[in-house]
Amino acid sequence: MLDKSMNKAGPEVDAILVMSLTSIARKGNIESKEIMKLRSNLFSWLCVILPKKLKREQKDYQHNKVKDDSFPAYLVLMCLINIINITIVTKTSFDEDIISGYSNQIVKAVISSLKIGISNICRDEVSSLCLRFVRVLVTTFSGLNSSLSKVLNAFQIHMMIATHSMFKSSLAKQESSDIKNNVFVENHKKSLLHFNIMDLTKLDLKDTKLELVYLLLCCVSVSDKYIDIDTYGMSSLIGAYNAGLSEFDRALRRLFYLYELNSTKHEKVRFRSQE
Amino acid sequence: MKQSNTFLNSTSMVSLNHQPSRNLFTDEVRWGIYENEHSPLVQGRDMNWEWFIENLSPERIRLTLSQFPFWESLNPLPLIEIERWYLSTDDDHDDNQHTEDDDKSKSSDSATSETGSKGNETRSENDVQKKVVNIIRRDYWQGEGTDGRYSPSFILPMILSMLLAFLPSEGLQRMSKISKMNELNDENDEIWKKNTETDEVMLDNEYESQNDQSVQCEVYVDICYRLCEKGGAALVLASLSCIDPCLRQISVAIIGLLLKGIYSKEAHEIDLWKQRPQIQMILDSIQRGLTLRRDGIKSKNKESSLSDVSRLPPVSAIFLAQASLIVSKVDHDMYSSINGFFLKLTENHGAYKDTGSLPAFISLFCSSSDRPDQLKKEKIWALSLLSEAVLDNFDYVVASRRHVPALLLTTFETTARRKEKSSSFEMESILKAIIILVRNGGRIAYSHFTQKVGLTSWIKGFLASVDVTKCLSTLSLRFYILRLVHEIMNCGVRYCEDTVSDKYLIAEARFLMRSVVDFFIETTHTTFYRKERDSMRSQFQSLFCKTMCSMQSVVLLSSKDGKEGVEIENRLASRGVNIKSIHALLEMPWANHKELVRLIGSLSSFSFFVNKSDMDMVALICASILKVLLATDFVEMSSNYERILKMIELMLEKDKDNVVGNAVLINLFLSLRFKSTVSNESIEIWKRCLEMLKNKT
Repeated sequence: MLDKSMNKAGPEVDAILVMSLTSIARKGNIESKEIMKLRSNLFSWLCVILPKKLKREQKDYQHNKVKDDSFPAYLVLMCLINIINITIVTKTSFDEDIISGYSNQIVKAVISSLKIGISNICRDEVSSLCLRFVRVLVTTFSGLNSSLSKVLNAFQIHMMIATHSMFKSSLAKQESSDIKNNVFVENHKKSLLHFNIMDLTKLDLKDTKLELVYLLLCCVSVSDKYIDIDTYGMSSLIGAYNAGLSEFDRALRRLFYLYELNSTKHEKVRFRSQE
Repeated sequence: MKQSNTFLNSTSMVSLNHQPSRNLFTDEVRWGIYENEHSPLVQGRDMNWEWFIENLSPERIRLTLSQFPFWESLNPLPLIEIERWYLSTDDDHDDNQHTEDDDKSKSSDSATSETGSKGNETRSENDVQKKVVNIIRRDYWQGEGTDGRYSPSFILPMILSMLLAFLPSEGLQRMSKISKMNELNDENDEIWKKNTETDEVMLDNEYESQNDQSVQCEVYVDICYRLCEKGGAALVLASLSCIDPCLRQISVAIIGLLLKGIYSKEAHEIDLWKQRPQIQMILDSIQRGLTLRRDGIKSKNKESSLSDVSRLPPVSAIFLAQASLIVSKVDHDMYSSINGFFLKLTENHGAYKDTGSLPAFISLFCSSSDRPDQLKKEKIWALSLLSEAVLDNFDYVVASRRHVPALLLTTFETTARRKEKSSSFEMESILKAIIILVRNGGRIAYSHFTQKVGLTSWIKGFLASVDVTKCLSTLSLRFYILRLVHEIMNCGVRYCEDTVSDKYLIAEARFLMRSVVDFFIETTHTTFYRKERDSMRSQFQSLFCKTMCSMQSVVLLSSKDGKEGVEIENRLASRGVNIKSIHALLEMPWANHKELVRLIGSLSSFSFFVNKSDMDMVALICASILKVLLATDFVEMSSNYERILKMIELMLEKDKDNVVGNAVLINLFLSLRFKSTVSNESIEIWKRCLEMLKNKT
C-alpha cells in the first residue's frame, strides 16, 4: 500500500503512516519479519519524499509563505528520527534487501538534509532536525554490517560539512530563541501526537550550530579512517568557541581534542608548543 | 605533566594563513568575537598574547568562581550521548565518592586518562567516567542569565603558555636571587644579604649591557601584573580544587611563575601595583602550604611522587581565590578581615594551614569585631562562602569537622527566636548554606544530617516550638524552609539503601508531613502571603507540592519490601495530618490543577486523623477528592489512584453512619466506575465504598 500511494498525499497516506508508526512503536521489541519489513519500507519511503519536502519548505521560507501541508518536512524528519531511535532502543535492524534497493534515495535524502542543515535557507527547527537525522543515521548504520554503511561514509560527510562555504557563517549564527524556549514543540504538539511521534518530553530540540558540532563529533568518533580538518575549518570552529562551559563549547573542545588525538595517532602533528 | 602537554598543545591552534603545512603555535589561538581582532601575522610576535590578556574578562572569572566547575578535566570528557561508543552507557545515580584519605584524585586520575580510543579501552574507562559525567549533569547554571563561566581547563593552559612565552630566560636567575634576598631581609640574615648584594652588583653590570633582557623582564612583570588585575590569579587558585590532577599541576606551575614576577625588582617599580604585597602574601602562603602538605603525604606514603599536587577542598580553594580578589581592593568591606587572616599566619613563614580544612569560617561567622555592622558583614560573607564554595562531599567533610551543620542550625534558631525583622536576610543566608550543604555534600552529608544532626527532627521541633508567624516573617524565608525539606527528602530518595538512616528518614517523613502541611496552611493565612504577587504565590504552592511528593517518595521506599500494606491499615493515626488541614488544602484556590492532583496523591500515602468535631468534613473531603479524580486524566494519577481510593474508603468507614445514603457521593462514585476498572484492587475498593454508601438506602 505504501508503495502504491508513495507519490500521493492526503488522508489515505496519513492513515497508513499513523498505523505503521504506531505498530512499529508498539511492537518494536518483537523481532518479526513483518515489522522489520514495514519499518524498512516506511523508512525508505520517507527518505524518498524527504528531498521534495525540504525543497518545498525552502521555497516557502524564501517567499515567506505558509502553505498548508498535512505532512510537512519537519514531520517527515521526525518520523525518520523516530524510526531510527526505535531500532536503537529495541536493538533491532532494517531489512537489508529493502534498504539496499533504496540506497541511492537514502543518500540523496542525506545530501539534501546536509544542505539544509548547513545553509541558512530554512527555519532553524528544520535545519536542526536535518542535522540530527543525519547524525542518528550515521550512528546507526556505521555500527552495522550493512550495504548502506558503505555508502554513508562518515569521512565524506565530515568533509562535506567542514569544507562547505557556509560552514563558518552557520557556526557564527545566533542561538534560535524558538528552539531555546521550546516554542516549536508547543506549536506542533497536536501533529506530533497525531503521528504518535516519540515521547514529547524526550524531544530535546538542539540549536542548529550545536547539532552541526554534534554531527562532526559523531563522524570523527565513528569513522575508521583518519579524519582531519584544514585550517579554514579549524579557524571557523575556533571562531565560534567562547571558552565557556555551555553545551556548545564543551562539544567544540571535545571535537578539538578528538582531532588532535586522531592526528597524533597518524603521526601528523597539528599543534605544538613553542620550542 | 606528560598528560597536560598533550592538550596544552591541542588548545593552541589556528593560523589565519591557509597553508596546510604550516605548524601552529600555542600563542596563535583566539576565540569567539575576538577571533578577527588580532592577527598574529600582522601584529608581530610580541603582540601575540595581547588579545588573550586584553579580553580576559574579570566578570566571567567572578561568575566562574560563583559556581566553580571543579569537575573539569584537561582532556575533555566524552559526550556519552553523541559519541557512538558511549551510546549504551547506563546511568549511574551515585555521586563521586572520594575521601580525603585517597587524596581525592583516584577517580579523577583514571577519568582523565586517554578518552578517545575505541573498543575495550573506552569500555573500561566508561565506569570511571560515569561518576564525573553525573556531576556535570548536575552542574547546570544556577545563576541569572546565561552561563558565562570560563572553562578552567582551557584558560589555565593558555595562561601557562603565555607566562612561559614571556618568561625571560636570562632574567630568571636574577629575579630569583632578588626574591631570595627579599625573603631573607625579613629574617635579618646579614651574611646571606652580603653575598647576594655582591651577586647583585655583578648581575646589574651584566644587566646594563643587555638592554633587551631588561625589556623582557619588564614585559613579563607587566603580564603578571595585568593577569592579577584581571583576576587570573583567582582562577588559578580556585583550580587547586579541580578533580583532575593535571589542572592542579598547571595551577601550581602558574603560581610559581607569578611569584617569580611578583618578587622581581621590576614588579616593585610598578607604582600602580599597590596591592602586590598582598597578592604575594597569598600566593606565597599557598605555595608554602602545599609544600607542607606534600611533605606530610610523602612521609605517610613514600610512593607518592614529588609532582603530585594534593587537591584542596573547593571551599578552601575558592576562599583563596576570593581572598586574592578582596585584597586587591582596599575599600572592600572584607579587606581588613581577610588581610588580617593571612597576617596572622606565622607558622612555617606564613604557610596557609587550611589546605585540607575549612578556612576562616569560624573566625568570621563568630566574629569578634567591635562594630556591629562589620560583625554582620563578616557573618554574611562567611555564609555566602559556604553557599558558593561547598561543591562536593569533601567540602562537607571539612565543614562538619568544624561542627558547621550544628552551628548553623543553632544560630538559625537563636536568630529566629529574637523575632527581629532585620535578621531575616541573615536567616535566609543560613538556610541557603544548609541547603547547599545537604545538596552538594552527597551521601556523607545525607547520613550525617539525618543520623547525627537530626535535621528532620530539628525542622519538626522548630516549626512546633516557635511562633512561626513572627519568627518567619517573610515569604522568602518560608520558601527556604520548604526547599530544605524538599532537598533532604530528595537526598533520601537518591541515596536510598536499606540502612538505618533510611529507615529513620522514612519514619521522620511520616511525622514531618503534618508539620509541613500546617506550616503551608499557616503561611497562606498570613498578610504578607496575601499581598504577594500571584506568580510568587503559585511558585510557593508549586514548591509545597514538590515537597509533598518528595516526602511521599521517601515513604514509598518502605513499600519496596511490602510494608506499605501494613501501613495502610494504620493510616488513621493520631500523629497524622488533621482532616481539617486536608479540607483546608482542598478548599484553597490552586493555580495548577495538576499540582492539586499530585498533592492529593501524596496525601494518600500518609496517615491522617479525624476528630469527632470534624466528622462533618468527611463527606465534603471525599466529594472534593472524587470531583478532582473525575476531572483528571487517568494517566496523571495512575500511580496513586488505588491509594487515593483507599484513603476515601478509610475516611468513609470512620464516618460510616453519616455518609450512608449520601446522594452526591453515590453519584460521584458511579461516575468513577470506568476509571476504577483499571485494576482488580481498585474495582474492589470502589465496590466496597459503594456498598458502604448504599447500605441502608
